[in-house]
Amino acid sequence: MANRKNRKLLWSWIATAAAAVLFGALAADMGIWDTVLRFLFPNTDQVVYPRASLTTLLGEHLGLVIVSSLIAITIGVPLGTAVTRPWGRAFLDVVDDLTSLGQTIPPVAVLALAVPLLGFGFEPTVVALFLYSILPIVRNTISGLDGVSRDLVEAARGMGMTATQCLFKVEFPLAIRVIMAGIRISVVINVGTATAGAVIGAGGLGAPIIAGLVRQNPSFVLEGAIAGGLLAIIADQILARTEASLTVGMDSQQSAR
Amino acid sequence: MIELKNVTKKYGDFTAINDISFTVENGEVCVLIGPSGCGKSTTIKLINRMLEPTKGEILVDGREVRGERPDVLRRKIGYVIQNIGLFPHMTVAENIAVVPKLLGWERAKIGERTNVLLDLIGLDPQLYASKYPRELSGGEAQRIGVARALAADPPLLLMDEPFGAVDPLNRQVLQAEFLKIQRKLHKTVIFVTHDLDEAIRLADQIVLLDKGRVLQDDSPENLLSRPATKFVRNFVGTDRALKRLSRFSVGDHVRPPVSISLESDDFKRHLDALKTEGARFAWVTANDGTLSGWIDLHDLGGDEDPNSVITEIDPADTAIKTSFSMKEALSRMLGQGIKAAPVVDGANRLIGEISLSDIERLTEE
Repeated sequence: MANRKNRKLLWSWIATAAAAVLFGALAADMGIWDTVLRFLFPNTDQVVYPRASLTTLLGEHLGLVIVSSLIAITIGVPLGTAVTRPWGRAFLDVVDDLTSLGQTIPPVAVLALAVPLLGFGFEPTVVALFLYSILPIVRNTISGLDGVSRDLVEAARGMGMTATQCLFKVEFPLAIRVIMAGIRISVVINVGTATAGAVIGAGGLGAPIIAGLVRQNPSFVLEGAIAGGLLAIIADQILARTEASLTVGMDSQQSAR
Repeated sequence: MIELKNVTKKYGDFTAINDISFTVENGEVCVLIGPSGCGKSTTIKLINRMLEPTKGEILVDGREVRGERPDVLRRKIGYVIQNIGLFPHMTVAENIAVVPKLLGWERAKIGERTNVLLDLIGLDPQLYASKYPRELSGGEAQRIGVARALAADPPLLLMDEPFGAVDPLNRQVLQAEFLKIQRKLHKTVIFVTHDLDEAIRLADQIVLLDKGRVLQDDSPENLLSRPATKFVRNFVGTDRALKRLSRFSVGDHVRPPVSISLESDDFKRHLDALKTEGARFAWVTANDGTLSGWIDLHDLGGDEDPNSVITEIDPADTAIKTSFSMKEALSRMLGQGIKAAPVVDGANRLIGEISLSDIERLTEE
C-alpha cells in the first residue's frame, strides 16, 4: 500500500516540478507576453513593463517571500509549540493576541511605519510580510498540537518518553498536517501580499502592478497579476507535495524495514 | 513487591487519596476497585509518577520510586490505559517497539520480541505487524495495548480500566486471555476497574477504595464472604454467592463424562455397563469424540434403533468450555433448562461434564 502511495507521490512531484519549470520558461520568454498582452490591449503602446525583465521581478519577489516565510516558520512553529507546553501555557493568550494584531494591521501601513526605521527596500518589506504571515503558522501549530489526544500524550509519557521525545515522536508527527496547512496558507497569502513591497521600492511582481496603476496601463497590471497568481499556485502545490512527503515518510518507515 | 505506605494526595483543599497503605506481592494481581472518584486511578498514577504524592512512601522492590527519574522508572513499568493510546501514526509493530527503542535495544531483538508478543496475544505477526491501529477492531487494539505494555518484559504492570471501553462479550474474552497470559508470565499487576465481576474474576487481592480511603484489602473470597463494613456489603451486593462462582473455573471442577458412542462396535456392551453403573442419562458422541446429543438410557430397553431416541443438541448453545467460569456454566444450565452441561474442547469433542449439584456444593463451601 505504501509503495503505491510512494509512486503516486513521486508522479505528483514530477508534475509539480514540470509546472514550475514551464512557469520559469514562460517568465523568461518575454516574446510570448508581448504577443498575448498586445492582443489583449491593442491600443496600448507599451504592453510589457520596461524597467525590469519578468525573471528579475520574479527573483525579487521570491526573495521577499522565501526570506519572510522562513523567518515566520522558524519563529512561528517554536513559538506555537512553546505556548502549548505546560510551562508556556500562561503565554498562550498573549501570543495569540499579538499574532492576531500582526495580521489586523494592513501590510501597507506596516511598510509605511517600517520605512523610518529600516529605510526603503527589502528589509522593511520582509518585516511587514513576516508580521502578516506569522499568524496562520502560530495558530495552526497551536491547534495542531492541542488536537493531539491527551490519551496519546499520557500513553507516551506513561511508557517512559521524556517530554522532548513525546513532542518529536508523537505530537509533531500527529500535528504535522495541521501545521503544514498553516504554512501553506501563510506562504500563499504572502505571495500576494509581497506585491505591496513595490510601494517602497522592494521590487518584485508588485512593480509592474503599481506602475500600471500610476500610468493607467492595465497591461502592466495584468503582467504582474498573472505572474503572481501562477507563482502562488505553484508555491501551494510544492508545499502540498512537501506535506504529503512528510506524512508518507512517516507512514512507510515500518514497511520499508 | 509494591508497598504504599501512608500515601496522601491532595489537590489544594481536596484530598484525593487519604493516607492509604497496602502491599502487593510479586506475581499477584491486585485489583483496585471503588465507585468513581474513589481515587483508584490516582493511586496507580502515583506508582509510575504520572502524579506525585503529597505525603507518604511508595516502594517498588524496596526502592522508593522517587529515587529515580520518572522516564527511566516508567520504562520498567508496563502501562495500559482505558483508551489504549495506540499511536495512530505507527504500525502495530512500531507501537510495540516504543519502549524497547527507548531502552536502546537492537533492531533484530526488537523484531523478535514483537513476534513473540503478537503470538502471545494470539495475533498472527505476519498479518498484524504492519497494520495501522485504524485497521484494528476494538478487541485487537486492546490486546496490542497489552502487548505494548509487556514489550520490554517489565516485572510490574499498571492497568487503568484496560477493558473498560470494550463490549461485554469481548471483555470476557479479554479477561480470559489476560488470565491465561498472567499464568504464564507471573507479572505483578495493579489493575483498576469499577466492574466488580471483573475484579472478582481476575484478582488475587482486591483493594476496595472509597473517598480516597481503603475500606477493605482482602482476597476476593474474603471480600465476598466477610465484607468488613456496611458499605462493602452494599458494594459487593446481595448476589455475593453468585459472584463467588465466577472465581471458580469449569476446568478445575469438570468431571469425567458419562458418554457413549453410537458408532462404536461394542455399543451394546457399553450400554449394559452404563446401566449396571446405575446411570440414567448419557452424552452421545460420534466416533471422533464430538458431541452430538444425549440419550435417556431408559428409552433404550429393547432393540429399537438407538438413533431414534437421541436428543440432538447444538454444542454452541449447550456445551461449555473449560475456560468458562462456574457462574457462566450455571447461567448456561438455567438458560437451557438442563441439570448437567457437557464440557467440550475447541473442536467440540466431549471432555467432561458439570452438574447443577457440583455448583450447589461450591456455593455451600
